[in-house]
Amino acid sequence: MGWKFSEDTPIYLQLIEALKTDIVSGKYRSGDRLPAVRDLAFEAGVNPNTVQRAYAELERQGLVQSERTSGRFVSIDDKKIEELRKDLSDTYIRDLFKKLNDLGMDDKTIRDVLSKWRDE
Amino acid sequence: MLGKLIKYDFKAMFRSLYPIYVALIALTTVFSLMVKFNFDQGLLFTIFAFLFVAALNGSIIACVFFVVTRFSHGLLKNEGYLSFALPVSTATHILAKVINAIIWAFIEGLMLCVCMVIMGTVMGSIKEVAFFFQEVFRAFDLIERDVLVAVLQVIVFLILEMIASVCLIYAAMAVGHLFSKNQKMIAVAFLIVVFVLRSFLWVSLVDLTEVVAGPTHMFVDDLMLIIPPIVLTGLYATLTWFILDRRLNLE
Amino acid sequence: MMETLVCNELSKTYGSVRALDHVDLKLEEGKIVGLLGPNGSGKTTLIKLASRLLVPTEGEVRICGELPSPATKAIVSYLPDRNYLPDWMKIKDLLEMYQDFYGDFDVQRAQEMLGSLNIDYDTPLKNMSKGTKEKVQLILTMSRHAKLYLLDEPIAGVDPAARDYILKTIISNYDETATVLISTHLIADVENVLDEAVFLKEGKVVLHQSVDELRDTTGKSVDEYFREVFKC
Repeated sequence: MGWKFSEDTPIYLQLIEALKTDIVSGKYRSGDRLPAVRDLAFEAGVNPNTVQRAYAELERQGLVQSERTSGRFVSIDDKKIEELRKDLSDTYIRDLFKKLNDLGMDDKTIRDVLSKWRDE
Repeated sequence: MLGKLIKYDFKAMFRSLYPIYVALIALTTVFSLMVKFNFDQGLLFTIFAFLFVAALNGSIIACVFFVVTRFSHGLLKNEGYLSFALPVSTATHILAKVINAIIWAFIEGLMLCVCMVIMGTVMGSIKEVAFFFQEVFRAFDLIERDVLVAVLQVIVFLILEMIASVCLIYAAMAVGHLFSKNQKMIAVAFLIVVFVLRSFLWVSLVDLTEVVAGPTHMFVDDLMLIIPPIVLTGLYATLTWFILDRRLNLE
Repeated sequence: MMETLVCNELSKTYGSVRALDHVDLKLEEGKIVGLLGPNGSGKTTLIKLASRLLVPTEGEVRICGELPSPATKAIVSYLPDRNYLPDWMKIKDLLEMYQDFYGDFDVQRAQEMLGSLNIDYDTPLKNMSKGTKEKVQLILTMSRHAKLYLLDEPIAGVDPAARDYILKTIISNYDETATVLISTHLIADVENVLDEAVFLKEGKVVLHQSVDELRDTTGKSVDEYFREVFKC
């Protein structure tokens, strides 16, 4: 139901990651209002408290600002988006290398495979 | 809340019983018409006569049956999950069921009277029926006060006896509920035991009354008469309350 | 923070069978809690004790500080694990009944949800499919502004689509100051909506933890961890 979540990490961390991806990809732009807690909880099929927790964490990181009456807004400049994009891509690349290392490929082989992939 | 409980019991009872009462009145009318127009021989008449008597008895049996099942289904089966989750005390639930029984005993009596009036009206005439009632009321006027009071006492006694019997049946079902198997058999066994105990008690009570008050004073104008059903009602109701409140264990 | 449900040394025995064994439990307001355990672990017994369909053998259970009574029943919304409504009743009868008996019943909320199901108000329950019946029962339960929702196996025996519907109805309708206790043995289906998990094993609470914490510390989903704890 709702979004797909992986089993081994807390849901709120996965929500944070999904929301960050939405911001970087431009689904939510600076000044856009984020969905209300209940609405996002309903859409994702998760507990409203979990959404609350993810929003709070995004606020703490300065990506989201909450206005008392009108909800939560994305508050981020282009420079910060770049940083965020780099953060996320670093995570994915680190993940990729780790997984391929586990398959027994060394870093050089991985680089070769990657450049071949791009050419195709 | 009591009123609301009674309302929902009434609705449920009405649903089950009204077809029977409609059939009863229809059969009474048909039967009376057959008699009036001398259509009182042959197989068809026999069938209708039989159906009419069956409907008369059946309505009484059905009334008792549905009073009993309103209690057992409403409180001790799946519907009990709904009833006992309501913000209502156990005592209120039991009181509602007792009142439900009284209401339907009254309605049953009323229906039987209606049948008599129909028969009288169809076979004779409305005038005759009216005359009959006039005579009855005049008879009341003529009767001496003492006798009238005595008659009223007997009526009160019968009503109290009926309430006691209803509470006894409820208590029997509650006792059955204490067991996980053979609940109906245990309820019937409990009824039999109580009947036996009661007759012993009754006999000794009558003996006692005779000893205390002398044989002539035993009946009718004695308040003693209405005390046993009241005491028994209290006992049965308390037993029912204790089981439903403290020992409830819905399947 | 207010505690909506507290069990102190709560025990229940049926004859010689001990269904609940000295359970201590505190549930706070605003949480959705999973009461998780295999069949026969005491889930239903705990819920029945809290709704006063049973009386404890030992110990006590308190709802917002009070022992179970008609007054606590007025603030507890209970969904039994069976069809508990008279099956001749139509939707309109049910709405009337809930309004009659529960001061906190929000008939508008119920009508909105029933509207999205496209059920005719004149259809008696007995003519509805099993899934629809369960949805109707849940809608009635969740349309109350209760302090404590006790949902006994709300998703057992319904198809996955109905399961989604039921869980979404729960998360979008409970009051923020209320506690929702969901008993189930189908953990994978509910774990995303839970704040906390309570594991019941043979009548004892063997775990009570926030779901995030559990995933963090074990690196496993609640479902996986449950299988580990209860493996035969």
